Amino acid sequence: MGLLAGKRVFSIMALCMMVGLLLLPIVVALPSPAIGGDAPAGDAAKKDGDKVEKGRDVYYKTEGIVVGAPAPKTTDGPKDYPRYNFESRVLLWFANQQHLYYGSFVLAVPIFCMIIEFMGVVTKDKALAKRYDQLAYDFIKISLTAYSLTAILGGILIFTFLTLYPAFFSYLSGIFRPVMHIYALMFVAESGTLYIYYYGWDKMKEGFLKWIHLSMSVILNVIGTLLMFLANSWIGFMMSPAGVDEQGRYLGNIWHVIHTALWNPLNLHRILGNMAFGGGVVAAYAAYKFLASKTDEDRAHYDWMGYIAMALGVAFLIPLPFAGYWLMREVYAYRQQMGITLMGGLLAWLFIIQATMIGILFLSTNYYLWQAMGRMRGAEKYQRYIKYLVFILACGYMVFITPHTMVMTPAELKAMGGQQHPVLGNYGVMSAKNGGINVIITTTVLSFVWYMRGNKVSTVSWAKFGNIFMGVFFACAYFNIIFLAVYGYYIPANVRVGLSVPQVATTLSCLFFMFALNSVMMKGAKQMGPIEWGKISARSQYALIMLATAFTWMMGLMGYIRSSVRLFWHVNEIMRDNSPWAYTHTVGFAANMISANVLFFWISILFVFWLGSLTAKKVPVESRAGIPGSVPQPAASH
Amino acid sequence: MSALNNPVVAVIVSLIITVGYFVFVDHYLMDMQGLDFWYLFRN
Amino acid sequence: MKALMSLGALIGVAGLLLLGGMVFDVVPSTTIRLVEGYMPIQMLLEVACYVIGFTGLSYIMGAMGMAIPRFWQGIGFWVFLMLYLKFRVYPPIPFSVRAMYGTVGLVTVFMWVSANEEDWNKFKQPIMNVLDAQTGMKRLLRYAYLVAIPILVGGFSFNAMMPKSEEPIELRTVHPAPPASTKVHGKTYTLQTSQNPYRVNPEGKYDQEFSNANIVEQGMGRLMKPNANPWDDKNQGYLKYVREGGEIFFQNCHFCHGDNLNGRGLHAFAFNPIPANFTDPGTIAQLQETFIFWRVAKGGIGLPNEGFPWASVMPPWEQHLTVDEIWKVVLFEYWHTGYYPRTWD
Repeated sequence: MGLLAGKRVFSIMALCMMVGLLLLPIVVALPSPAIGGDAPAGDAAKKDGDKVEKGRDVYYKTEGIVVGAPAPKTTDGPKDYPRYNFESRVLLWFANQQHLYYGSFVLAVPIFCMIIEFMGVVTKDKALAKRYDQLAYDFIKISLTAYSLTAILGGILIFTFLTLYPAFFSYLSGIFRPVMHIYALMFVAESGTLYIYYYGWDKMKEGFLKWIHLSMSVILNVIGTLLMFLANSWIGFMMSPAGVDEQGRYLGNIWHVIHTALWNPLNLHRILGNMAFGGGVVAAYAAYKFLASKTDEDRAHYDWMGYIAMALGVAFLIPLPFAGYWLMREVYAYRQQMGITLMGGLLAWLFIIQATMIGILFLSTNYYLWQAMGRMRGAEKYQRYIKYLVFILACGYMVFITPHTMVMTPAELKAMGGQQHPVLGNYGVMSAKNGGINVIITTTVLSFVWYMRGNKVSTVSWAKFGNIFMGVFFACAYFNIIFLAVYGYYIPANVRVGLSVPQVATTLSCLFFMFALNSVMMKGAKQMGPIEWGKISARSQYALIMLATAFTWMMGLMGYIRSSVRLFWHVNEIMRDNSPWAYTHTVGFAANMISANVLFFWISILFVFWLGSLTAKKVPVESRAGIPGSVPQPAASH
Repeated sequence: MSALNNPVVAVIVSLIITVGYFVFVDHYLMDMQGLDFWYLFRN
Repeated sequence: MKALMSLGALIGVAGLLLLGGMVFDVVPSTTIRLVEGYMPIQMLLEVACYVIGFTGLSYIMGAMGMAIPRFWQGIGFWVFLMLYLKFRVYPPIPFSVRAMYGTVGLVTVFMWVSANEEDWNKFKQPIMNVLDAQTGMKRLLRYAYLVAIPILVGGFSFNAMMPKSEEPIELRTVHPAPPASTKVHGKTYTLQTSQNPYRVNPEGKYDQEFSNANIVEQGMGRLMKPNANPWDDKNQGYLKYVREGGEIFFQNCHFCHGDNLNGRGLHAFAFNPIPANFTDPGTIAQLQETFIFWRVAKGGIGLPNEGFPWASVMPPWEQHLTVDEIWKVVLFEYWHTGYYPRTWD
């Protein structure tokens, strides 16, 4: 007893110490802006002949005392842009993208771990709890190797910056001087927490210690998120600078520099994006293991793992378009020009590709869910209607990807009589596209609902009414979305832009109400048969791999779009890019580059998976008793 | 409850609830943005 | 149920006959008009009708013991889609878009036939049969494929590699981002904040609400509002300016942009690409009024770098028109098309 109490005290102390460590960088950093603020005052006092020079914030329009040096006016040459016999920008692009892929992976996986570990702790079913715990452990194991790789890639990225873009990097690090060390220190805290979290897993798996362990995962994620926010502030500053005057001189308020116009939208968008991406990668890992496994136990385990990862990824994918919409709105609000360049101008073609990728994500998700119905008895009644869902999805998808200005040969142009097709060109405007994507998401929700009730029959007294109500609700939701899309053509643009909000609300209503209603109806429902994990077609696993690849590709694409919208600026309207590579790449080159990045990422992460499998001790997967009566069946022929 | 299990009644009740709900959503979410959802019908 | 399915089958047969007629040029594809200018939900509804028809058809055929194998259903639907896009939709859709739809169609068919294990087995059965080649006929077919597939692939490669005399495709940025400000006749206009000085209410204040209430009815056949006829001499203010803008338009612009403002003027087809169609919801309807002002004033020659390849022969109208005239012409364009300039609040 005494030992246990001692352990408890010790663990609380350890946790407090970790929190202390976490706060340390902030405490250390606190005086630094203060000193930064004092220093120029002291300087000014010293040479009292000089006037204190004041500058005006380019974004916040506040007055401030000039502290930093102006943004350097670079010239093309070895001084500002030293180079190999190669395009420096492409090297930087590669280093940056790989760092981002790994970075977002290692930020996302601990969040999953936290969720899954929590699920394991609160689950009453002992066997299921154990499975969850094992799954969370598997997750963190994968991310550990990736973690060190992230750090290495970060180092490579910094060296690339220092050697190829010294003038720009020294300007940026001059401005962010106070936070760069916080960043570094927080990275140390993150590593420490991660290692304790991972290596302490077995030691801390019972009772109170488990809760300590769980709260460590919370701390881990808080640090990780803050790290990402800081990194976001740099790109936010490059896109929409603030806290400096027109010449780029720092005005002494670090919060203004961090909290730029696009910082918060970027933060939200990136968190959601990372989670969806992380889910995709883990799902692909599970799919790969599923396809490679030789026993039914393994198949069942990896099937289950893939399903959980996919569900988590998709849960964050669904709000992602809305976060993206907010980001776009903020971009337009910040600089209309930037918005037009993105959506209607130079980069508009890339958005067509993006739409295609988003569609592929949702299509693969739906396909996976339909395949997954194969592992339960009783789902046949829904499978008959899948073809209509396919049709609705396809219609939404076609509308969603139709470009307003079409790619065509001059001969076709003459035949059509204009850049825009009089009928199909109308799919190219926002009103129709919003309708398309909302139809796709609503259909995905419907697929999920079908999947969740696949092997169950509701036993509540109002079951019949519930079913009819759900049907009517979905039908009306579809009708409302399509009606709003069509309605948008009949009203002026400034009213039309508002229509997207009720459209989104309709989709979200389906998501929340129907999920809630479904789970109430399915409480204590009669089961037609167990979910037979592992009994799923190989096609479904390829769908998961497809999902992950599409995520990766899309992330590369969106990163490229976000970065190239600055056009020929290092820091928008403050510091000009005078290197020979200040032009925008062709769509084809960019697509090839993104594909190369995706390919490299997947090859390297396969290596990481392989490394993980080297250490895997042959633990038999815990009994599947958690899911009653699930005797693994040999996978159906495929 | 038993009346609700009659399909016709169920469909009517569901329709009333959902249509009411979506009209409410459309109207108020547009109103919140200071826009008029009924623009076309008013003109 | 059966009656419903029969009805569906009837629709299917009628639809197929119609499409067949269009393919063989017996029925012109304009027989059933595609409504232009609005959300083409009509096209989707048409395809949906076909799908209903096919469902009925396959049900009835099944009931009569002549069920179509899943394999041919899948292929048939895809062929239908391609024929529909090629022969039903007019004016002809560019190949790039048809290829896109074709790919989506293919994916859709795949998702449909492989949605569950049973269907998938049914679908791949004929393929398996040919590969297994149990009968003489199947063996013959297999050899035929062995020869035909490489030839086809070779043919496609040859076709792809063969130099073409067609002009290359250009990805043109139709609405490049405008500069932050523009200088016309010695005065600088900030595009984000400038306003059309003639978009005024009777009190002489800038008022978009007022002008919006007086434009041409957009949805219903472009009719003038009964009490808002600019050609009524008694009109003052906004409507008078619209009339003046109209005069300028018909003296200068309509030769290219057309008397219906749809980009099909007298000289329109001498240019490639043809002039902008203002009635399209993707042109002036989604741009700010100042954007139009800038484009009119600076013309094709004033396009920024982003407007590559600067495929516009529009003259810089600041050399011919005064600032006031340009604003009035812009006013007229919005009035006539029934669109509203985009605003950002």
